[in-house]
Amino acid sequence: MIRKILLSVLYVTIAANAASMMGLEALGKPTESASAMTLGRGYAGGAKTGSGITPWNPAGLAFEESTSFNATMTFEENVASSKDDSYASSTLEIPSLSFIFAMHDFGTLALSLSEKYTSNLDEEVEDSTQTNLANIKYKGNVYELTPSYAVRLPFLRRVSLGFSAHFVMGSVSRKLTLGGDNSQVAKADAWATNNSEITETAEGSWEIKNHPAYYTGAIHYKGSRASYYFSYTTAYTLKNELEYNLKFSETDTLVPTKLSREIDVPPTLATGFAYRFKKRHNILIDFMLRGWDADICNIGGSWNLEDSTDTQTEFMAALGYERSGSTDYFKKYVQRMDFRLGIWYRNYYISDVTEYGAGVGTGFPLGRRSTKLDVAIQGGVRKSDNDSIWDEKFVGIAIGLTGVGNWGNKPKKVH
Amino acid sequence: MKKFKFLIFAVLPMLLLASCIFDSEGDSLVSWLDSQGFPSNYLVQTVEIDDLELSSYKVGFDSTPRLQYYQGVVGAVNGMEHDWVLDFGFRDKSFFAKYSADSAEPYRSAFIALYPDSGFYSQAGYKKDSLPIKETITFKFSWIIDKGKGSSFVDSIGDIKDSIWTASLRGIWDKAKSADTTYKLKISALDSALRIDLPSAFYKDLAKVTEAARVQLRISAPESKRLYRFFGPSADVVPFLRVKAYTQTTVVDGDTTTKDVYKNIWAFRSAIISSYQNECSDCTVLHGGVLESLLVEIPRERILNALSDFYGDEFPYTKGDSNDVRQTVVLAQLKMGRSSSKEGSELGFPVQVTAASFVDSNGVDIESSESYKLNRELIQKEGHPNLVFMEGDTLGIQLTDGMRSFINRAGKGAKMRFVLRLGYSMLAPYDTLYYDHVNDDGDSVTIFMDYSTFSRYDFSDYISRPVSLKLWLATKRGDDE
Repeated sequence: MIRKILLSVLYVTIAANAASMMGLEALGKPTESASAMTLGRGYAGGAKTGSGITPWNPAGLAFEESTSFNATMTFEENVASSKDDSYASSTLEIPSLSFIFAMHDFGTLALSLSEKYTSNLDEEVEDSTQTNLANIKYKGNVYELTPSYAVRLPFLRRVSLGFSAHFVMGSVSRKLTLGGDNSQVAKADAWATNNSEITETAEGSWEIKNHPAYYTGAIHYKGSRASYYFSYTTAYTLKNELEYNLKFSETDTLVPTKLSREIDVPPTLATGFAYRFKKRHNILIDFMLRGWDADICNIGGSWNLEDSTDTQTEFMAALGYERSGSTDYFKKYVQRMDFRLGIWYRNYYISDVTEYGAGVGTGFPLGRRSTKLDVAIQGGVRKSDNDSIWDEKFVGIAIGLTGVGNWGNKPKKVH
Repeated sequence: MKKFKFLIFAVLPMLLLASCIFDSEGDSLVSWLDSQGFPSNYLVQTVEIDDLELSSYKVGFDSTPRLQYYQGVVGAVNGMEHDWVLDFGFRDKSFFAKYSADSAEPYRSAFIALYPDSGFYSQAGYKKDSLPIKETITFKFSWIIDKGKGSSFVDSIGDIKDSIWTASLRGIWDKAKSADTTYKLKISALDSALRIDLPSAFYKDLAKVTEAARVQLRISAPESKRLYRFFGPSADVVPFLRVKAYTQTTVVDGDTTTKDVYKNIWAFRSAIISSYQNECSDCTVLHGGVLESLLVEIPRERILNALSDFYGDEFPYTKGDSNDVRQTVVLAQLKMGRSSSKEGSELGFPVQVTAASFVDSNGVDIESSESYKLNRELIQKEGHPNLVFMEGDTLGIQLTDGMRSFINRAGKGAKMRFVLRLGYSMLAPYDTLYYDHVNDDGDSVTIFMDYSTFSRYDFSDYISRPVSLKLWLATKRGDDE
């Protein structure tokens, strides 16, 4: 069954080659590296333990009971539109891979590779009025390798502390190929532009300026019904060293121009609340705030492009529900399944861009252990008052696989 | 369970189907690109700089002998003399024993056999009715004979690298022996060899060899009326020395017959040594076929000022790493006056003027051949603009790569310099296809001759006058700049 689902998704995404068209010149679309479980709850559930790695709460990991692995793949279809024009694109991504090593009294170690921002567009267009070709290609990701450690306090066992270090990596590129526009050239001089396609490229890598990583610290309280957390993530400066080229062919030997842009990412505050009732039902609320105060320098500039992207205070408010499945293998399959739903509202880091959406998700237990396949479907709208940012509608599916291992588990009691 | 399986398999295809239903049009993406500020093509504009006086122009000649494996040239043409040096190495103890022992010295003889390069003569348009080529010619032979022993001696000659050999040919001729030979040259058929007797002093020197010898033989004809082309050591028929080893006498039934026994020695490599005969020192003259070039510099201020006037921006660009990527050069063409005379064209054909410029390669200037873009409309009417010995009064030289590199690095003090050389003879100056092909009439069209042409073009009257420069520029400036 899993194979069939995966194959179906892969088959449809063969032709897919573009993600959201927002923020391509800046950082790209924020993905929050959410797993399929989190996406099913509409980004809520940071305070609910047993959900693996959640975007802003490393302290919750201290309550993990088993060693597990999680991989999530998302497929998103996106339609950007402005007045009578609309443009559909789609993307396939793997926003997060994570390992959790539960060590019980000694705390929990975790390692995740997650995607924070993505920009992906590859299109060739023919301008019917000019019969010239334009090819545009954005490819970029900001990835983080994040080791985390969380431990329950020795005396206040309901309280845990968690820390993460985020090592940033990734690359970004913009490649634009254009034909010549001879409208300002005398007819007798037009021959000079024959077969002269110009290619502009800017490509480079991401790192944190003057520091190996940025950090998150969190505190979590897990009550018998109510749980909550609070986290603080340090500010950091993202550095993007770029090589810029404008050339007609690969034999042009001009030295690439070196460009460097620095993006001051402000600190992030996040908090969340989870309330459990009737044993397996949970109400989940999360809130994240990041107060951008500086504009973001764009990747290549030039032509009529803006030199920078305006920012705004970024936040996300999410409300979710989850009915957790029973861990008793002998219960009915439906009772062992998870059901999730949630809604969210957020401000992007890009000025004037807001997003609201909803997600539903299900967790399918596989086998006797807690191995699980999570599927989430989410859809929503991104809106902007800015004419150059087209409104977008999106619908996506996320599939996550959680594998649970024996390593570090307590021996089972023999009755 | 079944319900949920149904849910998954119903929802998934619906979702995927929905993804296919979304409408997407190419025009929409163009519209999106436009709303972002992206162009769908780059704007080309032209800037013309007239009355441009060149900062400097100077001819440089490299007299280093040039290795020539396939063709040798001997003679003088267009104010230059071209000598051919052949390198021989051989070992034959019995031959030298008999050759040296032959007491009848006057009976010794040796000649060199040279085959006219029929491929060249046929491409140059020499037909049967152009033959025979006749001339009473004085050949000057110079030779250096090194003696040695054993096969290792012969091997050591072959081991000398070509570049070391050609470099050594500059200074060795002072100690060489030489002698003149008058020869009545007559080429009646292109497939038969010329047999030119070598001077007796050469045999004497050769007789001193006992086992193995290296012979470097230089053939000159400074007074000749034309330049002769022969097949070289790597051609199908190679130049060779034919030396009479001895005369064999046999008596059969009282009849005495004599037979000369020869040894053939093939040249294994060759080089051309070129030198000026009487070139005027104040002239700006380029010769073809040799290592000669005309280095020209365009005043950078004129170019930068013209760009500054056109764009209203500051030139040179010195911000950041000073690389100016605000625009780039699509094409640059320099125009100067041209003589329409065919005087100086060795074979009567137009000759291409090739350009190379200094472009940046990873921070270092390298000389790079310029690309050449075809203006087909012009070529059909007036022929290729980069030819001399051609009708018309304007020579057009494309300097695109050099100009692109210059403007890009002007902020770092780059200069706009380029090099001109005489290239190959052009056989189809009005043909708009720039490669050999078969035309509509079924005839083969060869664009360039396959052989160097030893022409002479005098730039003096034209390069000192103002020239014009036209730039086609692709700008990245937006509408609001």
